[in-house]
Amino acid sequence: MIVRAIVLKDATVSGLAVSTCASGGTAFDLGAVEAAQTAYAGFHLLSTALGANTMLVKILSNSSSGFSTAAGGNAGTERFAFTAVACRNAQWGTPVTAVFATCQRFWRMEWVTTCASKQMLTWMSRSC
Amino acid sequence: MSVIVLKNAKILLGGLDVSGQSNRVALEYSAEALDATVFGASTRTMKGGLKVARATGAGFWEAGTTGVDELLFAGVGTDDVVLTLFPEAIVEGSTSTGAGFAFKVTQSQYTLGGAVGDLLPFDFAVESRGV
Repeated sequence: MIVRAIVLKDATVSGLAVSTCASGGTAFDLGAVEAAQTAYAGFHLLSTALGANTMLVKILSNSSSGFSTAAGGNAGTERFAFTAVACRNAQWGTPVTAVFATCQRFWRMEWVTTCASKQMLTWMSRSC
Repeated sequence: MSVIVLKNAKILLGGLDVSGQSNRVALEYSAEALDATVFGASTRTMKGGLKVARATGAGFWEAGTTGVDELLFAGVGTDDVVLTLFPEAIVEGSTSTGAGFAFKVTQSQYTLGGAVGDLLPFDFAVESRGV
């Protein structure tokens, strides 16, 4: 299986900022993911061991641009929740198929980590 | 859109960015063409079958925890490795230049070695897997 990868968060150079609660990444309008389509997502953690700490990554979607508010009444719907990781890792999320009641145009990443400047990248895609 | 000079490809293989140790990458994406010809036909009729994706890369060998060797040597025969390729840099939210391709792979090949005086080269190949 190969998909086009649209990057939600590129921290391959600067690394992620510390976030002890769900920190909302930038929401991107990636075009409509229709009701019958499948969404794919994955991430790469490129840094060496995070010690006793871990990194938790989630991907959320929404049908409206108001999605950009991380905390509040329009935070979107969680679509992918990856297993917490503590060292170099890459994960391919379980594809989300035909569950979108409305077109999901807006996607963003959330993360929780207490380690500063860890390099990673998160992407998502949708079936044609 | 414009043509691209291949100078800033990004190759993320599992938990390692191998771009800085690589100087060649290729992605092959194809579908099997199945022969569906029946009696009475004058021209073969082909039908699209399963899709196949494969990637290869090459560069200069490095050892150590951030070198390609640790990842590629241990990874031969490993299933469900995530490979993400970007033809020209990485741009958040882009659906054109700056976007890439991702697939789950089985690492099938790791080769290193050269002639005296060479920079020690390596190459690798990975084959796609279904989701």
